[in-house]
Amino acid sequence: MINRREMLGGAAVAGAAALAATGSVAAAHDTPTSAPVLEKNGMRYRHAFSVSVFFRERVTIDAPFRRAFVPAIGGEIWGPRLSGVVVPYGGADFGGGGGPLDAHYMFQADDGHLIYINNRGYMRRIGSDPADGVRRSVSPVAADGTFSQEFVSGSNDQVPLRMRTSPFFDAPANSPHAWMNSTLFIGHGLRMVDPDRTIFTYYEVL
Amino acid sequence: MAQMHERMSVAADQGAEYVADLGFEPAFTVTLDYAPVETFHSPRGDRVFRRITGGSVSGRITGSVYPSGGGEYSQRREDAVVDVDAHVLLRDDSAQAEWLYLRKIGYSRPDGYYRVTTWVDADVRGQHGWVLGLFFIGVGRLAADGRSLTIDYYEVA
Repeated sequence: MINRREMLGGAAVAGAAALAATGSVAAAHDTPTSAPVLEKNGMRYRHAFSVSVFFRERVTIDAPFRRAFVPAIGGEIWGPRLSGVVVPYGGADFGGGGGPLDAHYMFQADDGHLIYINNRGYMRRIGSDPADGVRRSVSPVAADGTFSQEFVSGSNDQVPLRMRTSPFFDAPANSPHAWMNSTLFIGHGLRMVDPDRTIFTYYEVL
Repeated sequence: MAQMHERMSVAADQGAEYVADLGFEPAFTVTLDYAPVETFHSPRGDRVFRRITGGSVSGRITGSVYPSGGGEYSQRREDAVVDVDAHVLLRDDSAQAEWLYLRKIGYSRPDGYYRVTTWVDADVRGQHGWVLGLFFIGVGRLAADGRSLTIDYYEVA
């Protein structure tokens, strides 16, 4: 049981820490950017950066929750608030394969700092019914006991897709990228072929 | 100097035509009622626990927050930013009183910035199938007494 004195003492310490930290968090969010502030239905946001992520392998595991494995083989980052590269084979999408996305991989900024991204969201065919997920069938098992774990992902040209993500980042503290640790983002993904890649546009939610 | 990783690039991808437009469409508003906050220090920072005692949802989903068993288990970090994490059960106001599950994660900053991403699970047999697979962006406003939070949610258009 916490008594009142401890609570007040704790609150004072926490308050002082919060005050000291407010400066650093505010400073972290004060980085200049050339991107204009946009507004829609009262929500303010602005372009933070874009990323192209290149792919090669595609695997599915038909667990009860279907899981895909699509490594990020490389890529690059450009835009108002971040420039760098996608670390080759630094991670993958481990999500549902076309449905829920759950990617874990790494960026490296031009200044050398590594930034971890967990990109969660969805990619779906326009007009598809998400409830199909509970009615899906799996590919057959051959007479010799083998089965396919290949999975094919088209481009926007072949299949109209809608991809939206909400990435979370872990960037080094006290780096120019620390603002990414306490900023919510939204993303748009566009599938491309030749070479196989996705172009992401990321906005910071203000 | 850090080890620098190799770059893969298609120069045309940087064209202005690939900066995609995004927007926000209002979806629903959730008000969570909280029991008094309880906090303890752990190796991960301060765990900030708020038991959810009720509340409401309005907009494209209308109903109430189930008052027993929902909670917020956030963490106050070294930089005083709170990593928000909550698990909530909702019931709609239809005759069926359908259950929905809501999970939210995001940031509550000392400067008042409260932004979360939320996923909602609905039963595929029910009337809220439109939420399946989507996520929603929320803007939260904590009441002055800390006993309730109102979050306006938007679908990313």
